[in-house]
Amino acid sequence: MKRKTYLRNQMQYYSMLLIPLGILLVFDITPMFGLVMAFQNYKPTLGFLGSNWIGLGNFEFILQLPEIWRLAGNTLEIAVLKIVCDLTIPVIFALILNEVKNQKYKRTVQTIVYLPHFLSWVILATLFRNLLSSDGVINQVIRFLGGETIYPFTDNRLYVPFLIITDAWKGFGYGAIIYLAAITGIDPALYESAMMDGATRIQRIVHITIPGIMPIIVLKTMMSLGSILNAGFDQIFATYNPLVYETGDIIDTYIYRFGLVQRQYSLSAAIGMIKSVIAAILILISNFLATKFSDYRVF
Amino acid sequence: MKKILSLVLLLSILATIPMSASAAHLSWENGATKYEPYPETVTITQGRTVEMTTVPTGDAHDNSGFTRYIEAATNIKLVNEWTAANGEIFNTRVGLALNEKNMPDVLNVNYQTFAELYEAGMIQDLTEAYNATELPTIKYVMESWGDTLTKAVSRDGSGIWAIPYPNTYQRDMYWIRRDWLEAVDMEIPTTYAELEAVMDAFVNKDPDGDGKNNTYGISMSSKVAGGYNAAHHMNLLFAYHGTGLRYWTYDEDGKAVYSSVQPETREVLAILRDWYQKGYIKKDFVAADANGDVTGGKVGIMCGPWWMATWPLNNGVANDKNADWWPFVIKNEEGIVPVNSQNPVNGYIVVSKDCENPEAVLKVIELGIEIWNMVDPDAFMPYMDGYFNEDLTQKVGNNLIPIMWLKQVPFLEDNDPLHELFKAFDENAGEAALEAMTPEVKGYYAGALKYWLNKDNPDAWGGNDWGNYVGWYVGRSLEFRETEWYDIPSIFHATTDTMVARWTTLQSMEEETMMKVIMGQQTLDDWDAFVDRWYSLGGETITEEVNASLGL
Repeated sequence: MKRKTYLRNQMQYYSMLLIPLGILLVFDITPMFGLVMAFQNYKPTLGFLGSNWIGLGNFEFILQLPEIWRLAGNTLEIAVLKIVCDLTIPVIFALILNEVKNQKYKRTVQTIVYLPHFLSWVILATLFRNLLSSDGVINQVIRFLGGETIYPFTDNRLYVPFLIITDAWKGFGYGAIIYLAAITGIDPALYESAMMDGATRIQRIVHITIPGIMPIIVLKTMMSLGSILNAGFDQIFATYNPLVYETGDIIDTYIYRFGLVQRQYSLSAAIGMIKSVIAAILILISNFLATKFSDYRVF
Repeated sequence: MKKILSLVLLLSILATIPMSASAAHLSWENGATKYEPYPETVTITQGRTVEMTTVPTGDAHDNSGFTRYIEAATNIKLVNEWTAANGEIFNTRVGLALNEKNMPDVLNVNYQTFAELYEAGMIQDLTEAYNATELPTIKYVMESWGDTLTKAVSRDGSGIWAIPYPNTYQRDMYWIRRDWLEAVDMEIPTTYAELEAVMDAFVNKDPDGDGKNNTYGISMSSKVAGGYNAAHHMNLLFAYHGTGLRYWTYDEDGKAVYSSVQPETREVLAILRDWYQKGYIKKDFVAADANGDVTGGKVGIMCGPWWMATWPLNNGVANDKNADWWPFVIKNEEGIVPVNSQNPVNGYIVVSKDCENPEAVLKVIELGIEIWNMVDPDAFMPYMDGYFNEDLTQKVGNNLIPIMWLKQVPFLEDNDPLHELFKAFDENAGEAALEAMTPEVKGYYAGALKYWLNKDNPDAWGGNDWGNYVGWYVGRSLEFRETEWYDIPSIFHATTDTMVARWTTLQSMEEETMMKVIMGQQTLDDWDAFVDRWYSLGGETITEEVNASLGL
C-alpha cells in the first residue's frame, strides 16, 4: 500500500526521466555497439557482420606505431598542464572577483573575460598568428625592449607554453562562472560571524569561501580527469605545423592525419575505446579517493 | 574559405583543357543526338547532391525541363532515390549504400569509393554499352585525353568501369611586382640566376621605398610545394629540376617513384635552404600569412596559377594601385617550362551491376551536356520554360543537369568563354565586342576593359577590374597560348596496403625534416638520413606495391 502511494506520488518524476533516458539510449548507448569495429578490420562494404575479426590487431597496431610514445607523452604533458591551469586559475580568479565590491565593475569584468570562450580556435589561431608573427605587435615590443624575436609557432620550446597560456586565457573566465555561483550559495551568516570574531579577509577566504566551494572543486577535478587524454584537438590542429610535431603532435591530431589516408573506422574506434577506458578508470579512482579522504562524493 | 573554394572550382571547370589536342573531332551542328525511344519506360535511379541550386517553381532535380525532355525523347525516366544537401552527407549516404550493398543505378563518386565498389562487385563494366551507343560528346572527351582517361577507369587492365569526370589544368606561373623591379632598376628574370638577383634586390634595396628593411623576395606556403592549383607553392622550382613534392611519377626506367625522396628534390632543398638563409623567404614562413604579405606589399614575387590575379592579387592592387603584379615563366634550356600536374580524374560516374539499361545512363549523360549547351534549341526549348534566356544562355544552375558530368567541352571553340575574350583583346575591339558576348564572358570582359581603357587613371578602376584583365587575359594567354609546357605526369592516386599502415608516419617525417632543413635547423645530411629511413620504414615496400598496382 505504502509502495503504491510512493509510486503514484513519484510517477510524474519518473515519466519525466523517460525522455533523457531515451535520448541516452539512442545517442549514447546504442552507438556503443559500434565498438565492435575496434576488434575488426572494418570495411563499409562488408558491414559489422561481414568484416573480418582481428581480435586485438588494431590495438597492437597502435602500440607499434613508431611515434606512439612521443604522441602519448605529448598528449599527457599538454593535457595535464591544461588541467592544472584549468583547475587553479578560474578558482583564483573567482576568489579575487568575489572580493570586488563595485557590482558594476565586477559584472563588466566577468562578461569581458568569458567572451573568448565563445570564439572558435580557428578564429583565435589567426588572431594569435598575427599577434605573434615576426612583424606582429608582440615581437615588435620584444625587439623594442632589446629582446630576440620569438617564434612560438615554430619553436618546440615555446609551442607548448603557448598552447597552455592561450588555452588558460580562453577558458578561465567561463570556468570561473561555476565557482562564482557556488560562492553566492555560501551562507552570508558565516562571513558575518567571522567578521564579528575579527577574521581578516584572507582568513575568511581560506576558512569559509574555499571550504564552501570545495565540493565543486572536487567535482571539477574528477570530471577533468576524464579528459586526461584530450589535449585539445581544435587548438592544436589550428595552430600546429610539422616543425612542432616533436612537442605538439598529439594522439588525436596524428589519428586525424592517419584518417586522411584512408577511412580508418576501426583504428579510430580502437583509439576512442582506449581513451574512454582510461578515462573511466581515472574517474572511478578519483571518486574513490575523494570519498575516502574528503568525504565528498559524486556517485 | 568556402567562397574561395567555389571560385576556384568554377574557374577550374571553365579552364578544362585536355592534355594533348588529338585528331578527335566533335561537331554539335547537327543538333541533339537522337535515340530510339524505349518501348517501355526505363527508370534510372540516382543518388546525388543537390547543393546550392535554385529550382524553378514546381520543379525538382528529377522533374525538370531536362528530365521531361529526356523522358519525352527517349522514354527514360530519372528518379532521385535519395539526395544529399552537401558532399559530406553524400559521402555518408554512399557509405550506407556500400554497407547495405544497395546502391542506386548511378552514383558520382571519388576514387576510393570507386575502388571499393569495384572490389565489392557492385558496379558493372560499361564497355559494351559504351561501344554500342552513339555518344559523340563523351567519346570525344575520352579520346582527346589520349589513353589517360580510359586507363583511369579500367580495372585490372580492362573494361570501362566508370565515366570519368576529367580534371583541369591549372599550371603555375611566377608573379612579380614590376613597380618594384623598376625601383631597383631590373628586368623580369628569365633565368633562375636572374631571379635570385632580383630577390636579393627586393630584400636589400628597399623596393617599396619606405626607408625600412621590411620586404622579402618570394612568398612560400607552409607546405613548401606539392599542392596543385594552389597559391605560394614552389612547384615551378621543383619542376625545373625535374621533380616535385609528394606525388608519384616515372623515373628514367619508366618505373614509379615517389618524388619527394629523389636526389633532385635534395638539390632543390639545398637551393631553398640558401634562399631562406639569405632572407629571400620569410623567416617564419611556416606560420606566416602569405596572402596577407602579398596583398600588404611585403613581398615582390609569388608562384601560382593564372587566377592569382582574381584572388588574392586583386586585393593587393585594390590596396595599392601602384602594385603592378605581372605573370611570367622561366624556361629551361630547351625553351620549355616543366610543371607539376595532378590526377587527371576528378570523379567517377559508376553504374550499379543491377542496372539493366546501362546504355540509358550514358544517353542521359550525353543529353545532359547537349541540353546545357543548347545544341538543338528547336527540340529542347519547348521543355525549358524558365531555364534559358532568349539568347540561349542558362538561367539555372548546372546542378540541374540530370547526371552531372562536364558543363563544357574542352577545345570546342565556340563554347569556350576564353575564346571570345582573347579575340576581343587581340583585335582591340573595345566596347563594340561587348554586344555579342555571352553573359558569362561579358562580366569578365567588361571589368577587364574598364581597367584597360583607364589604365592611367587609377580612380576609374578597381582591383577586380585589374584582376579580370591580368588574370583572364594576360595570365591565361601566358598559360594557354604563349608557353610550351611539359606536364610532369602524376601517376598514382590510390592507397596501397602498406601505405595505410605507414604513410602518416612517413609524411610526418618528411614534412618535419624538410622544414628543418630549409630553416637551417638540420643539415642536408639529415635529409639523406631521412631518405634512408623513408625506404626502410616502409617506403621501399610501398614503391613496390605502387609499381605492381600500375603494372610496371
